[in-house]
Amino acid sequence: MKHTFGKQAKLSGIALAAVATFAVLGFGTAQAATFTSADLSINSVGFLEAAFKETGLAPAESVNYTSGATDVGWVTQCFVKNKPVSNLPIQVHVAHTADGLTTTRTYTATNRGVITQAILTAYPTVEEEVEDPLCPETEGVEITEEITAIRWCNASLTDTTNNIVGASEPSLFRQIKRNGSSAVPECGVLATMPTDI
Amino acid sequence: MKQMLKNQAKQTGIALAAVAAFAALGTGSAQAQEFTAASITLENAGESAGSLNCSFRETGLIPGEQIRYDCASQYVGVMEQCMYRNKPVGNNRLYIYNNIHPEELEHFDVGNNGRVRGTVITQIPEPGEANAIICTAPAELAVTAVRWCNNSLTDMTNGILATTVAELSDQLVKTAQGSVPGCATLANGPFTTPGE
Repeated sequence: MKHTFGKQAKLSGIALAAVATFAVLGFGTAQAATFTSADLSINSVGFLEAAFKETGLAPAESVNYTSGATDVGWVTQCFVKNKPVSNLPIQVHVAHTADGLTTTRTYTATNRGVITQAILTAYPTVEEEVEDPLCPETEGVEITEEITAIRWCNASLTDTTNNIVGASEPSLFRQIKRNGSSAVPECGVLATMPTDI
Repeated sequence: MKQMLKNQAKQTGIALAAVAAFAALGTGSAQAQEFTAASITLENAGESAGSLNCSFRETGLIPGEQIRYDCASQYVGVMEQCMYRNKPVGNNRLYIYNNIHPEELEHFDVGNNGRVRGTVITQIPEPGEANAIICTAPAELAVTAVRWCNNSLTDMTNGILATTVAELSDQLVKTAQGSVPGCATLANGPFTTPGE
Protein backbone atom coordinates (compact mmCIF):
# COMPACT_ATOMS: atom_id res chain seq x y z
CA MET A 1 0.00 0.00 0.00
CA LYS A 2 2.79 2.36 0.90
CA HIS A 3 4.34 1.56 -2.43
CA THR A 4 1.07 2.44 -4.27
CA PHE A 5 0.92 5.85 -2.56
CA GLY A 6 4.47 6.46 -3.59
CA LYS A 7 3.68 5.60 -7.20
CA GLN A 8 0.60 7.86 -7.22
CA ALA A 9 2.59 10.73 -5.80
CA LYS A 10 5.21 10.22 -8.48
CA LEU A 11 2.60 10.13 -11.24
CA SER A 12 0.92 13.27 -9.86
CA GLY A 13 4.26 15.02 -9.84
CA ILE A 14 4.87 14.12 -13.47
CA ALA A 15 1.38 15.32 -14.44
CA LEU A 16 1.86 18.61 -12.62
CA ALA A 17 5.21 19.13 -14.26
CA ALA A 18 3.64 18.47 -17.68
CA VAL A 19 0.87 20.98 -17.00
CA ALA A 20 3.43 23.55 -15.92
CA THR A 21 5.51 22.91 -19.04
CA PHE A 22 2.48 23.28 -21.32
CA ALA A 23 1.54 26.48 -19.53
CA VAL A 24 4.99 27.89 -20.10
CA LEU A 25 4.90 26.89 -23.76
CA GLY A 26 1.46 28.36 -24.11
CA PHE A 27 -0.36 25.26 -25.30
CA GLY A 28 -4.10 25.39 -24.81
CA THR A 29 -4.11 29.02 -23.74
CA ALA A 30 -4.08 32.31 -25.61
CA GLN A 31 -0.52 32.96 -26.73
CA ALA A 32 0.94 36.43 -26.58
CA ALA A 33 1.39 38.16 -29.92
CA THR A 34 5.03 38.05 -30.94
CA PHE A 35 7.16 38.65 -34.00
CA THR A 36 8.79 35.32 -34.78
CA SER A 37 10.68 37.08 -37.58
CA ALA A 38 11.02 40.70 -38.65
CA ASP A 39 13.57 42.00 -41.06
CA LEU A 40 14.18 45.53 -42.32
CA SER A 41 16.11 45.85 -45.55
CA ILE A 42 16.44 47.94 -48.70
CA ASN A 43 15.26 46.29 -51.89
CA SER A 44 16.99 46.50 -55.26
CA VAL A 45 15.27 49.78 -56.22
CA GLY A 46 15.89 51.55 -52.91
CA PHE A 47 12.56 50.97 -51.17
CA LEU A 48 12.46 50.11 -47.47
CA GLU A 49 11.11 46.60 -47.02
CA ALA A 50 9.81 45.30 -43.71
CA ALA A 51 9.22 41.55 -43.97
CA PHE A 52 7.76 39.84 -40.94
CA LYS A 53 5.87 36.98 -39.40
CA GLU A 54 3.80 37.61 -36.29
CA THR A 55 2.19 34.79 -34.35
CA GLY A 56 0.04 34.40 -31.26
CA LEU A 57 -2.69 36.62 -32.66
CA ALA A 58 -6.37 35.87 -32.35
CA PRO A 59 -7.80 34.11 -35.40
CA ALA A 60 -9.09 36.67 -37.93
CA GLU A 61 -7.77 39.49 -35.77
CA SER A 62 -7.25 42.73 -37.62
CA VAL A 63 -3.81 44.14 -36.88
CA ASN A 64 -2.40 47.55 -37.79
CA TYR A 65 1.26 47.98 -38.64
CA THR A 66 3.49 50.92 -39.38
CA SER A 67 6.81 50.72 -41.13
CA GLY A 68 9.00 53.67 -41.89
CA ALA A 69 12.00 55.77 -41.01
CA THR A 70 12.80 59.21 -39.63
CA ASP A 71 15.14 60.23 -42.45
CA VAL A 72 16.25 58.99 -45.84
CA GLY A 73 19.05 60.21 -48.06
CA TRP A 74 19.89 59.15 -51.58
CA VAL A 75 22.28 60.13 -54.32
CA THR A 76 21.46 60.54 -57.98
CA GLN A 77 23.92 60.76 -60.83
CA CYS A 78 23.84 61.16 -64.60
CA PHE A 79 24.42 58.06 -66.72
CA VAL A 80 25.00 57.49 -70.40
CA LYS A 81 24.70 53.91 -71.56
CA ASN A 82 24.91 52.66 -67.99
CA LYS A 83 28.14 54.59 -67.34
CA PRO A 84 28.36 57.54 -64.92
CA VAL A 85 29.14 60.92 -66.45
CA SER A 86 32.13 61.88 -64.32
CA ASN A 87 32.23 65.59 -65.11
CA LEU A 88 28.65 66.19 -63.97
CA PRO A 89 27.96 66.67 -60.26
CA ILE A 90 26.08 64.14 -58.16
CA GLN A 91 23.03 65.25 -56.21
CA VAL A 92 22.21 64.35 -52.61
CA HIS A 93 18.50 64.19 -51.80
CA VAL A 94 17.04 64.18 -48.30
CA ALA A 95 13.58 63.55 -46.89
CA HIS A 96 12.27 63.39 -43.34
CA THR A 97 9.25 61.98 -41.50
CA ALA A 98 7.05 64.92 -42.47
CA ASP A 99 7.66 64.17 -46.15
CA GLY A 100 5.88 60.83 -45.84
CA LEU A 101 8.28 58.08 -44.82
CA THR A 102 5.74 55.96 -42.97
CA THR A 103 3.47 53.30 -44.38
CA THR A 104 0.47 52.00 -42.47
CA ARG A 105 -1.15 48.67 -43.21
CA THR A 106 -3.93 46.56 -41.79
CA TYR A 107 -3.76 42.80 -42.14
CA THR A 108 -6.01 40.01 -40.93
CA ALA A 109 -4.59 37.04 -39.02
CA THR A 110 -5.12 33.52 -40.33
CA ASN A 111 -7.17 30.95 -38.42
CA ARG A 112 -3.91 29.99 -36.71
CA GLY A 113 -3.36 33.56 -35.58
CA VAL A 114 -0.48 34.28 -37.94
CA ILE A 115 0.30 37.22 -40.23
CA THR A 116 3.14 36.93 -42.73
CA GLN A 117 3.65 40.02 -44.87
CA ALA A 118 6.08 42.54 -46.30
CA ILE A 119 5.55 46.30 -46.29
CA LEU A 120 7.23 48.49 -48.90
CA THR A 121 7.92 52.17 -48.37
CA ALA A 122 9.35 54.29 -51.17
CA TYR A 123 11.58 57.31 -50.81
CA PRO A 124 9.55 60.32 -51.98
CA THR A 125 9.92 61.93 -55.38
CA VAL A 126 8.39 64.86 -57.20
CA GLU A 127 7.18 65.33 -60.76
CA GLU A 128 10.04 65.15 -63.25
CA GLU A 129 9.76 68.67 -64.67
CA VAL A 130 12.45 70.71 -62.92
CA GLU A 131 13.84 74.01 -64.08
CA ASP A 132 17.47 73.12 -63.67
CA PRO A 133 17.92 69.42 -64.43
CA LEU A 134 20.92 67.56 -63.05
CA CYS A 135 21.52 65.91 -66.40
CA PRO A 136 21.47 68.45 -69.27
CA GLU A 137 19.75 67.46 -72.48
CA THR A 138 22.33 66.68 -75.14
CA GLU A 139 21.31 66.13 -78.74
CA GLY A 140 21.79 62.55 -79.88
CA VAL A 141 22.73 61.31 -76.42
CA GLU A 142 20.37 59.66 -74.01
CA ILE A 143 21.36 60.86 -70.59
CA THR A 144 19.44 59.72 -67.51
CA GLU A 145 19.42 60.63 -63.84
CA GLU A 146 19.56 57.50 -61.72
CA ILE A 147 19.70 56.66 -58.05
CA THR A 148 23.06 55.13 -57.13
CA ALA A 149 22.90 54.68 -53.34
CA ILE A 150 20.46 55.19 -50.48
CA ARG A 151 20.44 55.31 -46.69
CA TRP A 152 17.38 54.88 -44.46
CA CYS A 153 17.74 56.11 -40.86
CA ASN A 154 15.93 54.89 -37.74
CA ALA A 155 13.84 52.43 -39.68
CA SER A 156 11.27 50.46 -37.74
CA LEU A 157 8.38 48.05 -37.96
CA THR A 158 5.64 48.17 -35.30
CA ASP A 159 2.45 46.27 -34.60
CA THR A 160 0.49 49.32 -33.46
CA THR A 161 -2.55 47.30 -32.42
CA ASN A 162 -0.62 45.35 -29.79
CA ASN A 163 2.11 47.97 -29.40
CA ILE A 164 5.00 45.65 -30.28
CA VAL A 165 8.12 46.76 -32.10
CA GLY A 166 9.08 44.01 -34.53
CA ALA A 167 12.38 45.43 -35.71
CA SER A 168 14.39 48.62 -35.75
CA GLU A 169 17.57 49.64 -37.53
CA PRO A 170 19.44 52.88 -36.84
CA SER A 171 20.96 52.91 -40.32
CA LEU A 172 20.47 50.87 -43.48
CA PHE A 173 22.58 51.53 -46.56
CA ARG A 174 22.48 50.05 -50.05
CA GLN A 175 24.63 50.66 -53.09
CA ILE A 176 22.15 50.38 -55.94
CA LYS A 177 24.47 50.98 -58.90
CA ARG A 178 27.88 49.44 -58.46
CA ASN A 179 29.62 51.99 -60.69
CA GLY A 180 27.80 54.95 -59.16
CA SER A 181 28.52 57.30 -56.28
CA SER A 182 28.06 56.05 -52.73
CA ALA A 183 28.35 59.49 -51.15
CA VAL A 184 25.20 59.42 -49.01
CA PRO A 185 25.85 61.26 -45.72
CA GLU A 186 25.60 59.36 -42.44
CA CYS A 187 22.31 59.45 -40.52
CA GLY A 188 23.54 62.04 -38.04
CA VAL A 189 24.21 64.43 -40.91
CA LEU A 190 21.06 63.59 -42.88
CA ALA A 191 18.91 64.45 -39.86
CA THR A 192 20.23 68.00 -39.92
CA MET A 193 19.85 68.58 -43.65
CA PRO A 194 16.79 70.33 -45.08
CA THR A 195 14.39 68.38 -47.26
CA ASP A 196 15.55 68.21 -50.85
CA ILE A 197 13.53 65.84 -52.98
CA MET B 1 -68.25 59.52 -115.78
CA LYS B 2 -70.49 59.82 -112.74
CA GLN B 3 -69.69 56.24 -111.88
CA MET B 4 -65.96 56.91 -112.16
CA LEU B 5 -66.13 59.92 -109.79
CA LYS B 6 -68.09 57.83 -107.36
CA ASN B 7 -65.43 55.13 -107.49
CA GLN B 8 -62.66 57.66 -106.96
CA ALA B 9 -64.47 59.20 -104.03
CA LYS B 10 -64.91 55.77 -102.55
CA GLN B 11 -61.23 54.93 -102.99
CA THR B 12 -60.18 58.25 -101.51
CA GLY B 13 -62.43 57.59 -98.56
CA ILE B 14 -60.87 54.18 -98.04
CA ALA B 15 -57.39 55.66 -98.27
CA LEU B 16 -58.21 58.38 -95.75
CA ALA B 17 -59.71 55.86 -93.39
CA ALA B 18 -56.58 53.75 -93.71
CA VAL B 19 -54.37 56.75 -92.97
CA ALA B 20 -56.50 57.59 -89.96
CA ALA B 21 -56.33 54.01 -88.76
CA PHE B 22 -52.54 53.86 -89.21
CA ALA B 23 -52.22 57.16 -87.41
CA ALA B 24 -54.28 55.85 -84.54
CA LEU B 25 -52.14 52.72 -84.38
CA GLY B 26 -49.00 54.76 -84.68
CA THR B 27 -47.65 52.92 -87.71
CA GLY B 28 -45.61 55.09 -90.03
CA SER B 29 -45.47 57.95 -87.58
CA ALA B 30 -43.45 58.67 -84.41
CA GLN B 31 -44.01 55.90 -81.89
CA ALA B 32 -43.50 56.58 -78.20
CA GLN B 33 -39.81 56.34 -77.36
CA GLU B 34 -38.90 53.47 -75.11
CA PHE B 35 -35.86 51.56 -73.98
CA THR B 36 -36.21 47.96 -75.05
CA ALA B 37 -32.93 47.12 -73.36
CA ALA B 38 -30.76 48.97 -70.83
CA SER B 39 -28.03 47.82 -68.49
CA ILE B 40 -25.38 49.40 -66.27
CA THR B 41 -22.30 47.32 -65.49
CA LEU B 42 -18.58 47.80 -64.86
CA GLU B 43 -15.98 47.29 -67.56
CA ASN B 44 -14.16 44.17 -66.49
CA ALA B 45 -11.01 44.25 -68.59
CA GLY B 46 -8.60 46.44 -70.50
CA GLU B 47 -7.61 50.03 -69.94
CA SER B 48 -11.16 50.99 -68.97
CA ALA B 49 -11.52 48.27 -66.33
CA GLY B 50 -13.70 49.54 -63.50
CA SER B 51 -15.36 52.22 -65.63
CA LEU B 52 -19.15 52.52 -65.79
CA ASN B 53 -20.68 50.92 -68.88
CA CYS B 54 -24.20 51.91 -69.90
CA SER B 55 -25.53 49.84 -72.81
CA PHE B 56 -28.93 50.34 -74.32
CA ARG B 57 -31.38 49.98 -77.20
CA GLU B 58 -34.05 52.63 -77.60
CA THR B 59 -36.87 52.48 -80.13
CA GLY B 60 -39.70 54.71 -81.32
CA LEU B 61 -37.40 57.60 -82.15
CA ILE B 62 -37.63 59.91 -85.14
CA PRO B 63 -35.29 58.77 -87.95
CA GLY B 64 -32.39 61.17 -88.42
CA GLU B 65 -32.83 62.68 -84.97
CA GLN B 66 -29.86 62.97 -82.61
CA ILE B 67 -30.14 61.73 -79.05
CA ARG B 68 -27.89 62.45 -76.08
CA TYR B 69 -27.44 59.85 -73.37
CA ASP B 70 -26.07 60.27 -69.88
CA CYS B 71 -24.41 57.47 -67.93
CA ALA B 72 -24.09 59.04 -64.50
CA SER B 73 -23.22 58.23 -60.93
CA GLN B 74 -24.06 60.16 -57.79
CA TYR B 75 -21.00 59.04 -55.76
CA VAL B 76 -17.83 57.30 -56.87
CA GLY B 77 -15.16 55.98 -54.51
CA VAL B 78 -11.73 55.33 -56.01
CA MET B 79 -8.80 53.76 -54.16
CA GLU B 80 -5.38 54.51 -55.63
CA GLN B 81 -1.97 53.16 -54.70
CA CYS B 82 1.56 52.86 -56.03
CA MET B 83 2.41 49.31 -57.04
CA TYR B 84 5.77 47.67 -57.64
CA ARG B 85 5.84 44.16 -59.06
CA ASN B 86 2.24 43.64 -57.99
CA LYS B 87 3.03 44.72 -54.42
CA PRO B 88 1.64 47.87 -52.80
CA VAL B 89 4.15 50.61 -52.02
CA GLY B 90 3.43 53.22 -49.37
CA ASN B 91 -0.03 54.33 -48.32
CA ASN B 92 -3.16 54.08 -50.41
CA ARG B 93 -5.51 57.01 -50.87
CA LEU B 94 -9.28 57.12 -51.19
CA TYR B 95 -10.86 59.72 -53.44
CA ILE B 96 -14.60 60.38 -53.32
CA TYR B 97 -16.28 62.16 -56.20
CA ASN B 98 -19.90 63.22 -56.60
CA ASN B 99 -22.14 63.75 -59.64
CA ILE B 100 -19.94 62.07 -62.20
CA HIS B 101 -20.93 62.06 -65.87
CA PRO B 102 -19.14 61.05 -69.09
CA GLU B 103 -16.45 63.51 -70.18
CA GLU B 104 -18.58 64.40 -73.22
CA LEU B 105 -22.25 63.71 -73.77
CA GLU B 106 -22.13 62.03 -77.16
CA HIS B 107 -24.86 62.43 -79.77
CA PHE B 108 -26.21 59.22 -81.22
CA ASP B 109 -27.86 59.26 -84.66
CA VAL B 110 -31.24 57.59 -84.91
CA GLY B 111 -31.40 55.04 -87.75
CA ASN B 112 -34.11 54.83 -90.42
CA ASN B 113 -35.87 52.28 -88.26
CA GLY B 114 -36.20 54.81 -85.44
CA ARG B 115 -33.81 52.90 -83.21
CA VAL B 116 -30.54 53.60 -81.44
CA ARG B 117 -28.31 50.95 -80.01
CA GLY B 118 -25.20 52.05 -78.17
CA THR B 119 -22.87 52.13 -75.21
CA VAL B 120 -21.73 55.08 -73.15
CA ILE B 121 -18.65 54.64 -70.96
CA THR B 122 -18.03 56.89 -67.99
CA GLN B 123 -14.37 56.71 -67.06
CA ILE B 124 -13.12 56.46 -63.49
CA PRO B 125 -12.52 60.06 -62.41
CA GLU B 126 -8.98 61.20 -61.60
CA PRO B 127 -7.88 63.73 -59.01
CA GLY B 128 -6.33 67.04 -59.98
CA GLU B 129 -2.54 67.37 -59.93
CA ALA B 130 -2.51 68.87 -56.45
CA ASN B 131 -4.21 65.81 -54.96
CA ALA B 132 -2.52 63.12 -57.03
CA ILE B 133 -0.24 60.46 -55.57
CA ILE B 134 3.27 60.61 -56.98
CA CYS B 135 4.91 57.22 -57.26
CA THR B 136 8.67 56.76 -57.11
CA ALA B 137 9.82 54.85 -60.18
CA PRO B 138 9.75 52.01 -60.91
CA ALA B 139 6.55 51.87 -58.86
CA GLU B 140 3.47 52.84 -60.86
CA LEU B 141 0.14 54.34 -59.88
CA ALA B 142 -2.87 52.06 -60.06
CA VAL B 143 -6.56 52.32 -59.34
CA THR B 144 -6.91 49.35 -57.03
CA ALA B 145 -10.62 49.43 -56.18
CA VAL B 146 -13.71 51.34 -57.23
CA ARG B 147 -17.34 51.73 -56.13
CA TRP B 148 -20.07 53.48 -58.12
CA CYS B 149 -23.24 54.50 -56.26
CA ASN B 150 -26.72 55.48 -57.48
CA ASN B 151 -26.02 54.99 -61.17
CA SER B 152 -28.41 55.90 -63.94
CA LEU B 153 -28.78 55.84 -67.72
CA THR B 154 -30.93 58.61 -69.20
CA ASP B 155 -32.08 59.71 -72.66
CA MET B 156 -31.35 63.39 -72.09
CA THR B 157 -33.05 64.50 -75.28
CA ASN B 158 -36.43 63.05 -74.40
CA GLY B 159 -35.98 63.01 -70.64
CA ILE B 160 -36.45 59.27 -70.24
CA LEU B 161 -34.77 57.39 -67.41
CA ALA B 162 -33.77 53.99 -68.82
CA THR B 163 -32.53 52.22 -65.73
CA THR B 164 -30.82 52.66 -62.38
CA VAL B 165 -28.38 50.52 -60.40
CA ALA B 166 -27.79 51.30 -56.74
CA GLU B 167 -24.24 50.01 -56.33
CA LEU B 168 -21.43 48.50 -58.40
CA SER B 169 -17.94 47.76 -57.12
CA ASP B 170 -14.77 45.99 -58.14
CA GLN B 171 -11.44 45.18 -56.50
CA LEU B 172 -9.21 45.76 -59.52
CA VAL B 173 -5.87 44.86 -57.91
CA LYS B 174 -6.26 41.92 -55.56
CA THR B 175 -2.86 42.35 -53.92
CA ALA B 176 -3.43 45.99 -53.04
CA GLN B 177 -4.42 47.22 -49.61
CA GLY B 178 -7.89 48.29 -48.64
CA SER B 179 -11.28 48.45 -50.26
CA VAL B 180 -13.64 51.28 -51.01
CA PRO B 181 -16.24 51.88 -48.24
CA GLY B 182 -19.93 51.36 -48.90
CA CYS B 183 -22.16 53.92 -50.57
CA ALA B 184 -23.61 55.20 -47.30
CA THR B 185 -20.10 56.16 -46.18
CA LEU B 186 -19.13 57.63 -49.56
CA ALA B 187 -22.18 59.88 -49.46
CA ASN B 188 -20.60 61.72 -46.52
CA GLY B 189 -17.54 62.79 -48.54
CA PRO B 190 -15.29 64.73 -48.36
CA PHE B 191 -15.46 65.09 -52.11
CA THR B 192 -12.54 65.53 -54.46
CA THR B 193 -12.80 67.69 -57.55
CA PRO B 194 -11.82 65.67 -60.61
CA GLY B 195 -8.83 66.89 -62.61
CA GLU B 196 -8.83 67.81 -66.27
